[in-house]
Amino acid sequence: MLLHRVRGCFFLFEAVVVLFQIPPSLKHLKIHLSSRHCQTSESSLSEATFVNLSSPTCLSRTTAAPGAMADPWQRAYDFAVEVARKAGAEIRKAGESEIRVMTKSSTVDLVTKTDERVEKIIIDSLKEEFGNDTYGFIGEESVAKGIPCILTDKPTWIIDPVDGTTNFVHGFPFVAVSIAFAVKKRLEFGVVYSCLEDKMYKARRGKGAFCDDERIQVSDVKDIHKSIIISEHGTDRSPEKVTKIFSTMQRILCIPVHGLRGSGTAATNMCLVACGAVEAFFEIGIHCWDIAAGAVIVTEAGGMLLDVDGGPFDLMSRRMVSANNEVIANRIIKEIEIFPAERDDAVIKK
Amino acid sequence: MNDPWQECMEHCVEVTKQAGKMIREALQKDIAVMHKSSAVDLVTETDQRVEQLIISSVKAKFPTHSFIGEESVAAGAPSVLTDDPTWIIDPIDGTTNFVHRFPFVSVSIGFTVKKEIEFGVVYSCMEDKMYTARKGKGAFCNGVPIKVSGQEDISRSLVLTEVGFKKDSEQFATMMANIKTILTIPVHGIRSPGSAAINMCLVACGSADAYFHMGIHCWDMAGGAAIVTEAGGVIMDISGGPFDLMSRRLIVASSRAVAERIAAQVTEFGVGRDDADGS
Repeated sequence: MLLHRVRGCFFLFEAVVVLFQIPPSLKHLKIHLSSRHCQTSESSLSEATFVNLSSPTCLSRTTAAPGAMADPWQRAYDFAVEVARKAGAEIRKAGESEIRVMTKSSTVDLVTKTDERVEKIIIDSLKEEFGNDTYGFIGEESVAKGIPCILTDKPTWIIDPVDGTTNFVHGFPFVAVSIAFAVKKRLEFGVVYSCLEDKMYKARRGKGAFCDDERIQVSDVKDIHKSIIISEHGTDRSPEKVTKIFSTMQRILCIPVHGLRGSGTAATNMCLVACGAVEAFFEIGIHCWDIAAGAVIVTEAGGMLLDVDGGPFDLMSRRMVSANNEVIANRIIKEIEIFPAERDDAVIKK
Repeated sequence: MNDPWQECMEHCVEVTKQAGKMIREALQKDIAVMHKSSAVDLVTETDQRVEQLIISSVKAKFPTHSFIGEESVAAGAPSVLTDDPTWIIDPIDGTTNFVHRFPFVSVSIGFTVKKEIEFGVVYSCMEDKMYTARKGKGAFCNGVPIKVSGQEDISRSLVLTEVGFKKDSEQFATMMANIKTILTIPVHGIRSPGSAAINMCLVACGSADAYFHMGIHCWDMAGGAAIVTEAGGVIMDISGGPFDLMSRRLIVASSRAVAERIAAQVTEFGVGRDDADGS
């Protein structure tokens, strides 16, 4: 039997108690300790972190000066939380009646009137509060209608009105409103409202990540064999992509890991990393609006983001690994079979 | 007529609530994790304590009844279903989720008499959702009636299944190939919540349209089986034949059409039986 010491915490007494209660028929026991409430001294909660999207060496971290000036984006942040909650209520109400389902790029890429209506509610609310032209907007349904998806230096809202439309159509428990805000291409805050669970995840750069009023942090697991990994099959069923997705899943399962899960929404998956329920989430094929808010929440919870090839995270690249730490992230990256996905900011050639 | 098993069911709901409370308390502390058959087959002290709580509470009130409990079987108790009134217990379905605090962790109890399932209770403790069903009396979540989606079109279905590492590489390859086959029908999506009992309840309340799995146990299925059928759903063997509680495999679905389509697409592999000698 092996006893593993959890970083910063010591549970020998508890483990010994457990040892003597083990029935004799349980052979080949290995004991390790799962700690979710051990505050580690290595956590970066006291540091400000930000995701710099324009820097090739992105994910630089800086320290915010204590007693800093009033936050210029506080009002926008607070309003985003309000708007997300309002949008979530709208989604819940819509879920009580019959939902007419349409499709976008394929028969499994679903969209509903609720997606479109909720995006309009969010954008109209933001315009009413802050003015029509003060800020830019990147919204999933607006982009679907032809509005370009280009991030400039202008303060910009990045919106997914209903992340997990398939789940919404079916009443599967994970449906999220995702709202992020970027200034000079740097993400300032992110809000993800998991509306069927009524959980508000939020993070302001430099101020930590929260679920409702409780501070959240990533798990401290460094051993890949003790991890749960999330990935999704996505909505592209083309054979080459499906083959690579399954091959990657197979390789990860055979490490082995504790398990492979999928909630059906990228924003929720990132929050599950941020609150320590899973160690990593990766996907190729997602969009900037799916991950922008989650990116802030994960980093403010002490986690990190990388590209699937191990390079710096790129919001417009359609791919990402988010993880509790570099050890887990790099181990997963070794197994990912990459396939191409057109960038969100690719210029559409007519 | 008075329901002869009403009192049992009421006691079952009560003891399940107590079990759920014990699990939620354990989630606030650190969890020592042990392994059973492999590095990915986890068990904790809470699994064992919860099972002891349930069995001792039921024995005190119904001393002649029999038990099949996951942790008792792991400790050497037989796993054979007789005609006796029998409580089939999974104290923590989703132990891996429990260890990680992933949101789907349940207590599952099914009650059989003469090998027929009379009622089932599944408590999703982190969501605080109590699913119950008495044969002939409908299925409920927190007292509110639930029913399956009624979906008959596989291409509009959300399907649940679970993936896990298997030492047998051929079985592992077949498991993955099955999921790929179903995904590319195509269906709307595949999800893996991580608890068989909760998966059955998600089908029962219409949040998913089907769940299929080979390799689970009777204690994973007994609680959910009545809940699905009383919600208007279908339960069958992975081959399309009649459901067999000890077979270690099942399909549950919103309709016969969806269930049969899955049965037609899936390649079987041997998983043994819960009531086989030496299993």
